[in-house]
Amino acid sequence: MEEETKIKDKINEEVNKRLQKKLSELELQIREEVSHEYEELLEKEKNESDIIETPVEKKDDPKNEDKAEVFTRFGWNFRFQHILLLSSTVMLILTGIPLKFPKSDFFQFIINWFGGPPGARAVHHLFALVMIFVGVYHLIYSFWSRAGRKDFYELLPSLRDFSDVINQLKYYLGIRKEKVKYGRFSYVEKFDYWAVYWGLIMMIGTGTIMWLFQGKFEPVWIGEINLSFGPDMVTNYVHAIAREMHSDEALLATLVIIGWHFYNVHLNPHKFPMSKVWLNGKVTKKEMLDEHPLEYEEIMKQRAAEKDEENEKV
Amino acid sequence: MRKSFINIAILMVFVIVFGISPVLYSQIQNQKCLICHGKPGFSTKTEDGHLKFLYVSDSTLNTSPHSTVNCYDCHSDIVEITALGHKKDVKKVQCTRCHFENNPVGAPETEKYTEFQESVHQQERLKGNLNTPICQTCHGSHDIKKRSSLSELEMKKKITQMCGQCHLDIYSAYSHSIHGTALFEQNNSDAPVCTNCHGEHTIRKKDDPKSSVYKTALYNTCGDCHASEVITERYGISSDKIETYEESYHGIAVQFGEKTVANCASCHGIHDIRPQSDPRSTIHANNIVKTCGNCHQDANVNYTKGLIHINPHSEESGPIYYISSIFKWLTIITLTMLAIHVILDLIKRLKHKTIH
Repeated sequence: MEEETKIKDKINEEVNKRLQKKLSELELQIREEVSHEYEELLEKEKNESDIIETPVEKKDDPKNEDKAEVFTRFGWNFRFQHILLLSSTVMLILTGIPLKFPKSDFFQFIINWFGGPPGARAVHHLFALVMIFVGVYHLIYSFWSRAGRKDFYELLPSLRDFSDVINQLKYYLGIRKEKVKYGRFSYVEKFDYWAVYWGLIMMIGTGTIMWLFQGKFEPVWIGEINLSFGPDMVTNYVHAIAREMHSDEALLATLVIIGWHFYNVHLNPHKFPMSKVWLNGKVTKKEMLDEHPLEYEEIMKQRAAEKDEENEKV
Repeated sequence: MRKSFINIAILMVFVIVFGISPVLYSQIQNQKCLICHGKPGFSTKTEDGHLKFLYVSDSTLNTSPHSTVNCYDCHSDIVEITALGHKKDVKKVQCTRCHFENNPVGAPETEKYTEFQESVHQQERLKGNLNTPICQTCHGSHDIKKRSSLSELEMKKKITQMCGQCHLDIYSAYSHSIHGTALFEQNNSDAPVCTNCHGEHTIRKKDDPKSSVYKTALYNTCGDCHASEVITERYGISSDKIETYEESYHGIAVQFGEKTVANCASCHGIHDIRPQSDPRSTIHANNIVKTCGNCHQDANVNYTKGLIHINPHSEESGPIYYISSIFKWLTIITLTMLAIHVILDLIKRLKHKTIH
């Protein structure tokens, strides 16, 4: 008899185990369906709201506000800097990278399109000035502007980022079930930011050394900027080192932008063809919850605190 | 027995008559001309009072590749010879009478005849400059010899002398250069002569984009020897000078068709290239600043500190080698890690598109 009960217990245990497994799978499936429906619903509402422009009414309705709420992720200043950085980077790559592959017909075409080496050089120098400007501008922005200071602190790497990387990899490999929660900036964005920091320091630094060696700079439309003391400061030896670094770092940066940044903001199925945040700075509540849940929580807390304050004042 | 002997005799007669008679015939024909022209010292006075020697040695003719050609074949405008001689305004021989492609008389088949038509010498002649060389100026007339009758060294020396007849200043500059001294003093047959750089029948003006010494093409011409491992190894010089030039900003600009940028000759000189150790060399430590200053007005002594031909893949380049290696590995490692991340992310997103 005792043996029988033992077997029964074992069977029950096994059944329970399997049931739980099935249940968790079922839960995932249902979650998938619900989120799909939710997404469709959101899209419908968005379309409707596009057609009927009644923002005043919507604000009054707390339910609508909750679902389609839009957050400003990047202010105009941030977006302005990004556009300057983006345009200067694209132009610098177009006029610079061909020099690494002079035998390629495609790059020959590009350089000829700029009017041969002198034209490409002038355009390169012009956008180098734009890049230097945006670099300096950003430095000032991240120390003087309140938003800039806040973002700068948020972007500083922390120990949490390293555990985030490991957890994210675990999630990718299926070892971890729940998604990793990120704050305002995930490690991906922090990597991008500091990669640009490193890149700008390298490119502007080595570029300036080459400028000093040449003694002159010829940006198109601006004319010639002479630094006559330059050639006295830089030897051919230093110039050659600067040139090698400039060229190598340029290739690295270009490959990272094309392979990494373009994937993250353009090519991945979630963003394709493009995330519009760099243009309008806006993200939906859904994206917020999806990508920056911790920041969302923070904002909600802050709002609650503000409300409390208001209530207290009243 | 007797019959077969007769047969052989008849055959012999045929062989003699039809095989050797053309030679004999030309000999006989030439004999007539050689009555006068075969006398050593036979000469005439030209209009400007110079003495022109008209002696043609019998042996010169017979040892030339044209031994079977008779005088009339080339000097076709002389049709009548009297006791007083022939007409005085004899035209220059036109080699193209026989030397053209698909010719029936057995002259060598080569494209050189047509190539020469586009050369600077022929083009200038067509414009009316009669001082330009024609075939016989370089190849000789009656004493023409086959290419194979001279050794490489003899031929190279002869070429410089041939070109030097007209281009005397270049000849003297060349003969003092490292290439010239190698040829004349060390009897080195590897040394380049005029034709190695400028071409032979295809020779063009240096401003002609098709020229082998055109601004943007010159480095490839120098590379014929200086990028050749066989030749550079023989003299213990590096074979990467052309490659490193191509990687320098000058070389890159040249490859993009820039014409105002320095090529090999801008720094090293043209015909008077000298070794760096020679104080008269344009790249001697004392002269570099001046050489760079030809283009870079701001050039100062800083231009001389450091290497010019830098090979980032060679350890001799010092810090540049290490920087290049560090960046190579930095790029490989970074991109591999990012690629792994991208691929994992893509797989996850494609699998759970709706959840995400």
